[in-house]
Amino acid sequence: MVAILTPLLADASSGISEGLGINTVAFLSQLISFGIVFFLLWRYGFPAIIKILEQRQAVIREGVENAEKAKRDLTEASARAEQLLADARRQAQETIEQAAKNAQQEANRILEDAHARAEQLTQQQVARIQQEANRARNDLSRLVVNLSIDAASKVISRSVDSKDNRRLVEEFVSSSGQAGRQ
Amino acid sequence: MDLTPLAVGLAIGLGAIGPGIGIGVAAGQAFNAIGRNPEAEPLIRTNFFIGLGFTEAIAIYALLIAFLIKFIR
Amino acid sequence: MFWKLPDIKLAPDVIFHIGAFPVTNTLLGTWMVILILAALFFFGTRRRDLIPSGLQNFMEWIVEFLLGLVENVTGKDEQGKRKAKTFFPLVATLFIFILLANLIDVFPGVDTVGAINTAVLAQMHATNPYGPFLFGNISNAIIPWIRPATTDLNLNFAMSLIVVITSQVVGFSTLGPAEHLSKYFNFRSLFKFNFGGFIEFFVGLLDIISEIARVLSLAFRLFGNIFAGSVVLAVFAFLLPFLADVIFIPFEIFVAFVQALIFSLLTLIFLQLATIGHGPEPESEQEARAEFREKHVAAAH
Repeated sequence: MVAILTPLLADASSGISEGLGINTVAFLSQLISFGIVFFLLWRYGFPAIIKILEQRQAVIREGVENAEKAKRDLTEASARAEQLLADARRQAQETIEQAAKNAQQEANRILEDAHARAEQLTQQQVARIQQEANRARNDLSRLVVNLSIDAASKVISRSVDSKDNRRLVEEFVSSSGQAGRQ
Repeated sequence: MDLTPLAVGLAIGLGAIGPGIGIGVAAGQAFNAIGRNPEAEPLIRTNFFIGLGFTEAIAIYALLIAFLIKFIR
Repeated sequence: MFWKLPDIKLAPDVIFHIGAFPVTNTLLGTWMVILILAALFFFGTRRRDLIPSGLQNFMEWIVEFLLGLVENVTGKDEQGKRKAKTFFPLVATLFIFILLANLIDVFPGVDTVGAINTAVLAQMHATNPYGPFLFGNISNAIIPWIRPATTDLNLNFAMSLIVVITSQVVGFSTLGPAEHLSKYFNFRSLFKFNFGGFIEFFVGLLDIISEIARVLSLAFRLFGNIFAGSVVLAVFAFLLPFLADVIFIPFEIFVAFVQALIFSLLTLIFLQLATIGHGPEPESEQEARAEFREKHVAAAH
């Protein structure tokens, strides 16, 4: 087409083509210059910029994916933390309940012990008191016998020292003492 | 008497009438279309520029003829 | 008069020769763009920061904008993305290259710094009394060292030829030679032997002409816009010095962007059209509407 058009223009009216400044050498030099521009941009210029754009796209996509992954991880982690916390709370509750139960049992045991000891002590005391009372009563009755014999001997001015009398008085005192106690 | 200046003036003056009307009509219709259908604005704008290029080429031919008459003897 | 209306020359001037090879001022503009592009891409991709800043951010923004543009036309499905990957280098190179080449126009010194055109001085029997600066009657006796590359029709024809030939190659490789050639030589509809078939065959033949017209219109559109832009800047610098260009330089920057966009967008559409055979047309209006809605929804998302 170049070969046809340029001579065609040149032949049809050499004046016109000369006036417009069209000539083969200038045409070819401009064609080659533009070819160089096209080749450079096509091979080096545009790929460089498109590569930058694609790199940025990749980086941004990666960033967005990472952010989403982090978000997902965070959700998971917080769910797990929640779970752990609930577990711990439940365990603590159980432990506390167990401890309370144990303490209750211990308290009951201690109370029972104390009751038993108190009972035992009371019984011991009562027994001792009774023992003491018996001894005191015996002492008292002997004293009363002696006293009544002394008094009777004074009254009757004679010694009531016979064994028979003594036995008599003791029997009397004892029976009166029993009657008094009843 | 040299009538070259007259020829040059008539060539570009008469040659510019048609494209002038054409560009006016095209622009008016384009604005009309954008007013009716604003979402189609990018498409209308692109096609408007293409039409503008074709219309304006006529005026450029007239200009070229004027140059040829003036400078080429 | 401080200065004269600058000379308007369509053809680029030869500045110097390397051996027998003439170097024109537009070719120097092309080389400047190559250097700027090399610097931009070198410094833009040198530090591959994860958080881009400054130049790297800007380059990434442009590349993403162009990728989005290509995918909007080819479609965002699996097949469309594969096509977008194939089309992207050419479309993006055209956009960035044309944008920079156009923007050179508004740099101070472009079109206004150069060698003194001794031939013009000799013709006017004038000498240059002002040293490095030209004033008054001889102010247009200059051969600028650098001109915007896109004000050279050679470059524009080179680019538009590359585009049309690439679209033909893409058509041959994706549709297969038979299907692709049947777009232009539509014997299938000719042998229906009715009026409609004949018309379709004729339209197919006309498409060959329209392919050639594409080369011309792509090249002349870019050339006309940018050349007219630089002429407008020069003329207004003459009519209303210092002030008028405050308005026109931003406008030229806008034009530079729009022309780069149109050139690359048309390239993209030619490539996309080349991959589509003339399949069954939508039967009814409703179907066509549904198809449009589908396409629009796909494009909007």
